[in-house]
Amino acid sequence: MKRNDLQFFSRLDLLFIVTPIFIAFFIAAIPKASEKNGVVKVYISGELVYEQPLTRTATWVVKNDGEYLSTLVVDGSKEKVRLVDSNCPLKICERTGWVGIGGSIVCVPNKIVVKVEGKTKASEIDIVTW
Amino acid sequence: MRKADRKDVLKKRIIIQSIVFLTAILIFLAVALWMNFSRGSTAYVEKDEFVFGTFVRVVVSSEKRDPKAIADAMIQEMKRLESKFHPYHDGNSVIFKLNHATGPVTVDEETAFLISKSLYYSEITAGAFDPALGRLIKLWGFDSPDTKKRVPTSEEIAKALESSGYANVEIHGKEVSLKNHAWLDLGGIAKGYAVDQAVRLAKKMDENATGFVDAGGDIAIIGPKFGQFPWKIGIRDPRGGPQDIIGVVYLSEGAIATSGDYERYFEVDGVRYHHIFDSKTGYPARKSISATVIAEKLVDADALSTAAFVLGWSKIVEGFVGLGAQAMVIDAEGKIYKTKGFVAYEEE
Repeated sequence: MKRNDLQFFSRLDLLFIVTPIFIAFFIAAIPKASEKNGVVKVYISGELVYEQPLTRTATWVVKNDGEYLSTLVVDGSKEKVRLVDSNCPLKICERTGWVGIGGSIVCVPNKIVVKVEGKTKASEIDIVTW
Repeated sequence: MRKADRKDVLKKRIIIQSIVFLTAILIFLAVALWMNFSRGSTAYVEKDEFVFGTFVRVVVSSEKRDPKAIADAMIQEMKRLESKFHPYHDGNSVIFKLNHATGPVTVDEETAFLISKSLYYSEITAGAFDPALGRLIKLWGFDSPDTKKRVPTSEEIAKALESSGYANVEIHGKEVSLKNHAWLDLGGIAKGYAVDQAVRLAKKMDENATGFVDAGGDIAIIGPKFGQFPWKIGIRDPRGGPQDIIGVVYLSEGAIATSGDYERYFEVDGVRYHHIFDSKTGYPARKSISATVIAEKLVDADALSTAAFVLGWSKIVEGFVGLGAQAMVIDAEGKIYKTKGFVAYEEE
């Protein structure tokens, strides 16, 4: 009788065991398309009105029913966004400054919400109290 | 080795190999599920809305009910309370009617509870939390995001102070009287109460629901993250950007609220005038730049964070521990003070 016949684990067996585990980790580690790169989304009164990749430098005028509200600036090289020249009284949205992935800018009087969505590290915070 | 023995060994080997392969497949499935679960790709539903003059985010998960239905119900509950307690809106606002009444008004049980709770916090904080500053708030223009803000004259402030302060509020059962033309503004507590009620509703719909409500940075936990992990909550650096954090706490339950001079303010000649007033001076409070309170309910954290902001670090704030709350105060020089129990929340 050959020695291999009596071994409970051959090299091939080990391959069968390791391969599924490796594949599982690989599949789970692949980021979803939406998580891969950051996306800037602008909402007015809860309705999505504009969307663009975070990596593309651009400016976009935020209007509601033709009325000027603010201007969105996207700096693709830094992957950050901000609102400028807003028509709201306190300019809190402007003072928010630049925000990156996971951040948001809110303009309460104009009901504008700018969200920067994208993959964040698991170790990063879930919520901010302010 | 005999042929029978060899056959026996081969048979055993096939059984063991099968067990090992099955185990490997189970591990495969478990790992894939765990990775997907921990990423939270589908577990939580988020609903955003503008309520109480701020941006409210409801993030909820439920296995028993449609999480979207829970989130919708929660938002509706908060909107109901916003219209009920808004001091400056006409219509169905109980507080508006109370502020414009010429004599005692009989209110419903919920309103009486919230007014009583407000007066309780006014008394134990020596007026640092004060629900009767409506005249002052309107004078400065902080009654609405659209109102023009300005620095009133000292005469105007003195006059508004005559019609301000919790001592002007009397409540006997459900009968409420406002003296000296004082106006109630429950803004410092009604939002917290509304969020608590929304969380209560979520738990009523599914006692195992998890998630949180973030009402303009005041947060109430519905349940732990994915049912088992604490939520990692950053405390904003009051002199940094919106994503700059000065500390981190972990909450699986309860609530946390922060009051800061950077939330709503305007500047005149380089001086910042914010929306949290010292009832003794009639001007924005200057002892702190940020105050954070952790409590079981957001209604308590909300009121106490306002009081801590006005008081600055003091014996009264240290005494919050006796009320089951923990506080962190950052003074005008940027120095950080914490109650002893606060640090327990800083460990995961």
